[in-house]
Amino acid sequence: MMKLGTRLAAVTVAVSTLLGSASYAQDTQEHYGMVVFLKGSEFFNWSYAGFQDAAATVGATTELQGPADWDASAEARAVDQLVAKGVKGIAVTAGDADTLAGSINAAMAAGVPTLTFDSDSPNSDRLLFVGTNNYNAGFAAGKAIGEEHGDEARVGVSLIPGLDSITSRLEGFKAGLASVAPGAQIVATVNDEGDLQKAETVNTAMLQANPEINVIFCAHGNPATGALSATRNVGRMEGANKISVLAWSLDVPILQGIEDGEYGATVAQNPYMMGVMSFWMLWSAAHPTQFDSLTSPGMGQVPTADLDTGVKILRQGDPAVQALMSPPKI
Amino acid sequence: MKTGFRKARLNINTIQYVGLALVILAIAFGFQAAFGNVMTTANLRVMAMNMVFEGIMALGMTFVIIMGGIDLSVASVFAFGEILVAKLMVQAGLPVPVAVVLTLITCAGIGALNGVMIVMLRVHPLIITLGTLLTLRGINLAITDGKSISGFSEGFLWLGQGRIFGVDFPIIFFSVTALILGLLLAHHRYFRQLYFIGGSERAARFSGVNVSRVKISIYVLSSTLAGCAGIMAAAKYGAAHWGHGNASELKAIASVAIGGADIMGGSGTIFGTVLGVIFLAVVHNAFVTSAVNTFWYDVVNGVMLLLAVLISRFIARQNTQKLKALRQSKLDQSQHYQTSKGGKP
Repeated sequence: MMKLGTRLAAVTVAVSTLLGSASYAQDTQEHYGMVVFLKGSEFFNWSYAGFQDAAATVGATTELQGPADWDASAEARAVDQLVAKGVKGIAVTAGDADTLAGSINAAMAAGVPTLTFDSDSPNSDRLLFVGTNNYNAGFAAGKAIGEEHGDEARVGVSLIPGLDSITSRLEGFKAGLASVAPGAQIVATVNDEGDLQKAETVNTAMLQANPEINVIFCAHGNPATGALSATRNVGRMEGANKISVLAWSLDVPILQGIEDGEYGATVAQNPYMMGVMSFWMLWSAAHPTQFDSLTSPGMGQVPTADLDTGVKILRQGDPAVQALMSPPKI
Repeated sequence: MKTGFRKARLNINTIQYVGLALVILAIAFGFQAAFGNVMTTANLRVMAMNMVFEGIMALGMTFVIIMGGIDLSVASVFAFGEILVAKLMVQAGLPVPVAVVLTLITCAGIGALNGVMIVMLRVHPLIITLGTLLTLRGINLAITDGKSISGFSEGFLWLGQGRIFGVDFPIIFFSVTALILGLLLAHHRYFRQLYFIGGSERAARFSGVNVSRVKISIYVLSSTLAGCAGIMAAAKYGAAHWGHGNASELKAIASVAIGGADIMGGSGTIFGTVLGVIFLAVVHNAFVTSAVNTFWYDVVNGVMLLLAVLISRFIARQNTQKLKALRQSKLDQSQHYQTSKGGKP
């Protein structure tokens, strides 16, 4: 048994030494960290790919940290660890805005430029937020529906009530729709609770109660598949009475559905660009020029406003659909 | 020839602890040599804080596992403790001490409920505590609408962020609690009964041990410690959220098992659990330090857990064989005695 312990220790030292030789070269390079929740998800893989690609252009290295589940406290710990490790900058997507605030503040106080991307922590001292402006994205979606269906658009909305991001999207959607089709109407909204099966149930009920609906607007990533099933349930997935489902997702099954003509369109955020711009903002903050940042003295210049990475409404035949159907692997 | 003092015998558990400690030291110093930044004050503090809440839960879990039980509900109790103390302070406006005490009483009540159901229904603790885990998770979501609660007073935040002589309060809480519980487990008659119950519940019951009472009290202890961890976590992060501590029950169980406790009950120590907690903290830190994809962290933990279980089963088998050999030698002696006296064997 004693031998077993000694051998284990010896093996560990040997592995450490091997890893050490690999790491020596990295010591001279700048190193940046990205922290996410739901690590391994396609969306954040896109973001990290952008972060990596941008870093590679200046010879910097990166690492991705964070839990594989939705635990913001584990993200906070990851931020703390990266600060202790001495990274040059951290981009974090906040699984919960309040939980991350303390760690982000501590990182900034320690002189490590830290920003939020995709999900913000607005009450923290973060440099800035890089991501989709939900109102603008909703506006683009509403405008697209208005342009396609005109004043005849009768829209049902599938959402989770109470979330700031979704409320902003809906406000933008209404404004965008009204800007090109003042006669169009939002007929009903349903709470899908972020659950696919629930989305099918409540959307089916909505379509049965409101047969005039010809568009379903999915205001977040989860309900699109359920909404599509609901159109099938009421016999309006095809034909002259077909209901157009507007998804809010980049997932491959949704993109495939766009290509197959099942979905009308999808609102595509740009997670890759979130990663790219996050890196450049951090790099800029970590390399002060003759004038410091207006908001974070001692750090380099970054915009004082949040950075909107925009959306694109993807329809059948758009070459971007094919490009997005090969998500990066981490 | 007698030397006058007892020959030092290395207990097989001691060897296991020494092996684990050597592995921990090898990882820590190996990664320090390779990557640096491991033995810095800042990193050691982060490393300790990274596992301290799971560590507090693991202390209670040690008692449960020695007793032959399991408590999967600690992760939900942890989040529930966070949410309840936050609601009592922020929404009900109660003073910090009152909110903390009420939260701990409620968490203890959850533990008592677990214990009573296990004893009364005679259902495996895995099922009962799994039910509590899922029920409380749903309650945590429902009573918060999926949102976090923040806006705590400075006095409350001290419980998670305060320091005494430069050491974070949760780490001091963990250390002092581990010391007290370790001494109690090693020396107090009431807690020594746990080994008896874990070894053979039936034998313990026939020997007059009030198994039901002991069981309920240990589940109360486990839930109360999870509640303590939840309160300090809310103070540390400045927010209470239903998703905090997700899957921490698995880390707590892994810490106990890696620390040498027999998952079937009857063996284990607080010292071993503390070593298990430190191992998980050091391995996770090593992954961050080396920037190796942390997906592999679970692989290493899983392999280490399997190794620990194999070793503890090996020790249990050795002990059983020793017991059988001892019993046989007693029988042989008895037969020899009767034969030498001319009686029938």
